[in-house]
Amino acid sequence: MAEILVAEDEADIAMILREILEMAGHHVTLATDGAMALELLESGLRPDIILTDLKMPRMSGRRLVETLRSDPRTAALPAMLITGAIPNADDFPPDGSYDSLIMKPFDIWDLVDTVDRLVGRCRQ
Amino acid sequence: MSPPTPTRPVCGRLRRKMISAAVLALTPVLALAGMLALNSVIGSHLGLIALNTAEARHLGIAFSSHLHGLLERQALLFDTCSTSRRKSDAHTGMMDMMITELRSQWIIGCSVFNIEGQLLCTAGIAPGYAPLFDTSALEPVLSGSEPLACLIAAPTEDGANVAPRVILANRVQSRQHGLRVLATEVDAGWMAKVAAGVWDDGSGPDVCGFVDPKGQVLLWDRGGSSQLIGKSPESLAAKWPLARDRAATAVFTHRGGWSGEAVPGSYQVSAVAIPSLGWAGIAATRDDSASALAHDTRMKHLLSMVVTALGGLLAAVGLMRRVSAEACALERAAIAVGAGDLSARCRLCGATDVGAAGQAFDDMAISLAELEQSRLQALQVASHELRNPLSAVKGAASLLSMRIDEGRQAYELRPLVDIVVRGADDLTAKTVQIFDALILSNHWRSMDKKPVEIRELTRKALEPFLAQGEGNRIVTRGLSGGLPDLVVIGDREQLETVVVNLVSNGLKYSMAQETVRVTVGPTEGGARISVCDRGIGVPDAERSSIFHGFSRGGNLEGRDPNELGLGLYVSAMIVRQHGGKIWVESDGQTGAQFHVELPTNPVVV
Repeated sequence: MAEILVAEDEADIAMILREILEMAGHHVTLATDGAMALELLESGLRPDIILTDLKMPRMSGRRLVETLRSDPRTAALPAMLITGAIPNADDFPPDGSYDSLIMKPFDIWDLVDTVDRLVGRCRQ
Repeated sequence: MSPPTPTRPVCGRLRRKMISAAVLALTPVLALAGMLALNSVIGSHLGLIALNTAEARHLGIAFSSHLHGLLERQALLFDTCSTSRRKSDAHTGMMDMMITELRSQWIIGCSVFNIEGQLLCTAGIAPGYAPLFDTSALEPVLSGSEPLACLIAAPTEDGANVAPRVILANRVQSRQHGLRVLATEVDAGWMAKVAAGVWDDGSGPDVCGFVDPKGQVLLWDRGGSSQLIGKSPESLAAKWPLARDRAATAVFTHRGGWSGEAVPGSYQVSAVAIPSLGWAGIAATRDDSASALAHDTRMKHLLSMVVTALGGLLAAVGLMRRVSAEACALERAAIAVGAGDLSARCRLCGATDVGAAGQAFDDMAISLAELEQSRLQALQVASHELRNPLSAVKGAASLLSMRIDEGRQAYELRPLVDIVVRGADDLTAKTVQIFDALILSNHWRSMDKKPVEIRELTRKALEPFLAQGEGNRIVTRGLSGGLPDLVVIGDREQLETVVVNLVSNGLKYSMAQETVRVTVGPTEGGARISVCDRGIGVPDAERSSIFHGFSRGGNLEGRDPNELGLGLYVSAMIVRQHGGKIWVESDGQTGAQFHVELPTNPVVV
């Protein structure tokens, strides 16, 4: 079981992600945007992986990833992007700053497999 | 993508048209030049002939008048002298008397013949004077076939002195001695003076003189020097058909040089016969190219025309080349844009019509590129906005399937079913928004434009907000009754949509306690509607693209991610279709001021 932090502003999608990941045996904490995700990390949450949307109010997924990478405490935290945006330079964080990308609409088993793979690699 | 090579036929067609236009433009000039050239050649030729003919006639009349007077005086003197000498019966003394009397008339010597040709007596100024001519030359006079005759004796080969001698012969009737032939030698200098009188004003022919029936030609040039040319009557007749007709004068024209003769150069020669004397007066003018050019300024005019025509031709060719190059550049850019390369430009200046067309083409290509960029951006945003509800629907459906397989109860499935329904609703709403925007952007001509009063229209547009309880958040200026009407031509429903969108945006992006100020007022030539809020503002980076379709850009922080960003795009479309303009002022932090200006007399582009 892994501790997973999900940053997603779409409530229905956040609920779907929670259902899928909990069904896979993980524990999920939801944040409605990047700023809330940072606040949870600051409050002591230590996830094994963070899943984030790109376009969110207050703080976008790009800024969230860039902030994580600039902080030594979270620089190595695996980050997985879940987005419906077509990749371009403006929306996406720099190459190498995130670990995986899943495009919406996603297959639930692909999502679970990717999360398991990233968590397993991190623990090794 | 590399721009395709333009097809040559198009360039060739344009070049041929330009050449045709240049030739057509030059045709009058070329025709005028040709006419001048022809006129110059013909005029020069005919002018010389006319000049020479006039001079020859003038010369003939002058000689005729002088010689007739001299011959009459000779005849009178002969009769007088012969009568007076009847007492002394000495012919020589008679001739001496005649010489004395005629000395003032340039007589050098006199001789008297009987009608059989026998020399009866002779006398001259110089001691030992002797007539030098062949008496056979007197034959026409002796035979009585000619009443008068003028003879030119062959020069005496006396070392370097070659002097022409002029002999006049006439038949005189003496009372005592009967019919006699009187032959008088005249000073050639006197003859030259008579000829010189022809060109006293300096405009006469280059050479003047006379020719006798025996083929003796005596010429004087402008300097007064004389030249005697011996020609056989046959050769002269070949050049000048000196047929003695009964006409008072006859013009004989010779074209060509006097090569081989004493007078060099090429001359235009005319001769006028003087039948009463048996002479022909001649006048000749040099007609070589240098002389012709000097005499005829029309050649200068012709050269000027030719230079002008060549200059015009060069200018036309230069212009043709430039226009052709510009047309080819425009063609290449057009083909490239047509093939999909919207970055292609012809980059022409607007100095020519083609250049102006090129600039218009570049402007069109820029607009096309912006439109294409806007459409691409629209696709990206639409993709993103549609993928979110699709993800929800797909994920919920997958979970539902699993739950059903697990045999879960219906109430346990309810949340997932709700997600599917909300996702489907969201998909429907966003799809309708997207297609409405696309339809609006392509069917603007269907708008129903009528006179619309802007203050009343704005009040009407704000009514829904008041009904929804937003009245305390909206402050208006310029909407109270009694103010002058602000009438524009437009589609009332569409213009209301603009106001609603701007006010809705202002309320949406402001804090709940903040107000939105709506101001309506006149401008020069129209009306302005301003909507000011104290919300999150518009960053500089988004200010130029905020009115593009689906263009919320990458920065959604602080904005509602469920909005497609079509409100401002639709508003901008409507305003442009009314010939107006829309813009935003904002420092990016403390609110935004959206302005719409609508012209009273719209010119929609």
